[in-house]
Amino acid sequence: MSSTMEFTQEDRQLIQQQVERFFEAEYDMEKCRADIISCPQQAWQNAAEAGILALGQSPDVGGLGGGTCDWGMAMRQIGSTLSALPLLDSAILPARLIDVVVSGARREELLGTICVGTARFAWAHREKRSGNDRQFVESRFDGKAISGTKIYVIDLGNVSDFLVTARDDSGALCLLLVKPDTAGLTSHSYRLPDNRLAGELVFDQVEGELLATGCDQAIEQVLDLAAACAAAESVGAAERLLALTIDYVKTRRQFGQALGDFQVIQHRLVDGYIGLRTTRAIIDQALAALDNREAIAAQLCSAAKAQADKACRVVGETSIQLHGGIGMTDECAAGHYLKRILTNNSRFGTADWHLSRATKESFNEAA
Amino acid sequence: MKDGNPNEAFRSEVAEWCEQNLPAHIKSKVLLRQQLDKQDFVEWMRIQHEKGWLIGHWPVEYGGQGWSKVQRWIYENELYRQGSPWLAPFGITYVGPVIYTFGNDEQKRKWLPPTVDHSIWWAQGYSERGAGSDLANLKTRAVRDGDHYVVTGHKIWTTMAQWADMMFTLVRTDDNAKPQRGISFLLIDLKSPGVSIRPIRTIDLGDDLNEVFLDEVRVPVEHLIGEEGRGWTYAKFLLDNERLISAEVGKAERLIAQLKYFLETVTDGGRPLAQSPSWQARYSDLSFKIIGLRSLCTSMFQELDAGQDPGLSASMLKIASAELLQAISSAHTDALAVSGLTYEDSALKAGANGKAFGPEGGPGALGEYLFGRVYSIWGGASEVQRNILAKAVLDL
Repeated sequence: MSSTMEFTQEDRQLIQQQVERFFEAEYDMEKCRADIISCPQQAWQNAAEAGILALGQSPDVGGLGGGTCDWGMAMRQIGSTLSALPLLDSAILPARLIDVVVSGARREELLGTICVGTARFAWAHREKRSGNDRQFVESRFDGKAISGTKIYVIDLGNVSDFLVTARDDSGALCLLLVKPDTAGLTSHSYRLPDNRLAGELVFDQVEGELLATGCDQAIEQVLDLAAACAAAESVGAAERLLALTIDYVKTRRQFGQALGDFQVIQHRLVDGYIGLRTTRAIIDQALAALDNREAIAAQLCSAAKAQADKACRVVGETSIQLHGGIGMTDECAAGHYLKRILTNNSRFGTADWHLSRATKESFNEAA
Repeated sequence: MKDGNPNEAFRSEVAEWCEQNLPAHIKSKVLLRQQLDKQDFVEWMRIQHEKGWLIGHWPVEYGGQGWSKVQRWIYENELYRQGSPWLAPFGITYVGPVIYTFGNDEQKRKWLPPTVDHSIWWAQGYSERGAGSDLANLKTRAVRDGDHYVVTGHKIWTTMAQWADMMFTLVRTDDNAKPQRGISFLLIDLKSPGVSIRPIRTIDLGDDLNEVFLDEVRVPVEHLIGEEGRGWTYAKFLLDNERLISAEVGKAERLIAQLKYFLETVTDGGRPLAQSPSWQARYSDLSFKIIGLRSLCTSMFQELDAGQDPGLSASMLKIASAELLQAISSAHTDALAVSGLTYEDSALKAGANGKAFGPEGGPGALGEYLFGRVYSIWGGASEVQRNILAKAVLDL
């Protein structure tokens, strides 16, 4: 767990402004309209130089200090600008995972390479049959090599190392580090709804470095963090989209008046605003609870993801509706924002899964 | 359903015929929502025409069967339930009836036969940038010059214009009349000089919508249907004709069958979603909504048969149908999200061997969700339909 260094309100604002400037400078809707959007190595380096990759990491490994709320803030910016920077998959999740399960010099070394951008990890955990189930891992590690298939590995063409989960002969969950060019490893990519690339990795007796064994609890923690971060990204996207839609209804005229003059349209936008403001508040609570290691953190992360999936999706669909025909086009930003939200819906637990997780806890059912 | 119910007998006759005659290669594209060619549409239209059913809803004197509205509705919905492509309505349901109702004999002779056999493909030129749901605001102008109209303007959202030979178009012929009075109904040959067509890439990465630019296009006066200045009335006649049959129960049934397939195929932690109580409840809720829409249609058609025109209250069918299709599509995406969403376009082209991800039909279902946003936008947005109901039905 990263040691938390307390920031003053002023520090925090300064950092936020810097992060905003970084992502706004790269913001370009034209890029989103390409068939594929990915993050070239240069963009990853630029993020490192701007300090983005060192956010939330402890100073002893070259990080800026702070905590998970800095990650949440950066994820909102990524959503807002539809950036293809794989901050969550290639920096935040690997950093937290390594921090929790690796110790000593290896920990410092690995985390350090994330902060400076020399490493670009990708998290390879999800499998074809696992769905939402975090512990459902069928990939095997026989003590020497991994066999199995992983899906949803984001932007895998630009990755320096894969962080792979697999079960050993005793059934314990292991974490391994694998280089992309290792013998026996094959992959192919497909397009996600938001034009980013993800890939399937097929491991056929692939050797890797065993980082840790018995990672079940760490995986739970990391996936709670991931759910809250994905929620933050969706909220960032939906907030920007809501603002664009508000601008649009002020200018578009039908039946002799601006669309925004119709009360029914005002109410839908107000509902969207309330939904997003509430979601953002839950996310802040969830991230703070993670930092403070409160017992309620898991439940708050589930609430954040379930609420974000629903509220952001409503804003996405409403925005297209209020744009009318133009909202149906690839040229309009609304569809691109909805697609990022949709993609996040499918990651780190669907809303339905987070709800049933909470149900099980409330009624003391075995998971 | 009682024995001897004529509607049920008709439905099962259509069902049986469709099972035997809808070509497998076309049906498969529809079920996977793969791109269809013009040839696919025309082939299927001609098969229906051979049977005499394509224009079953036309009067007998124009080659139809004189079907009632309920029969046409049953026919279309049974076809859609089985995976028929969209029965592109531009010729056979939109312009054809306008021509045989308001056109002169020469126009009927000239336009009806090629419309029916689809040697002419029609496009509908109504919407403009500033005139979507507010159609009376249209700006495309037609100025009389001898025995021609000279038409200049810009139409948008023109579905399948890339395949079209002709476009039936609402144009303004009188600037001084009240907005709705100055509009005329004109048939424009899209091969004429001055016409250019530009595809619009849509949210689902399709390109069936277009912009049509008209730059001093000369249109013979014989291409005016009915009287100058009455185009609005003809367009409304067409809308009234359509409102009742706009409820897509058949498509909803096809989509919910697909939802069932996804729930049985997608696994969560090794168990199919179909075993999850929350998914079971959601599935049943959607199937009850289908029952609701079908019942509403049946009830309105009974009113119509009893001589009471449901009139504008039929606007509620468009709202309900759009919301139902969108709700089922949302359920598709939520189920697919469990296996991971992908929108791989190779899976959307028949014969492509790109390795698809997740259950078969997944990318197509996602495309349907994205493009399905349009159901509550086109043909008068749901907000406008609600205004109509508030005013005309609730008398507010």
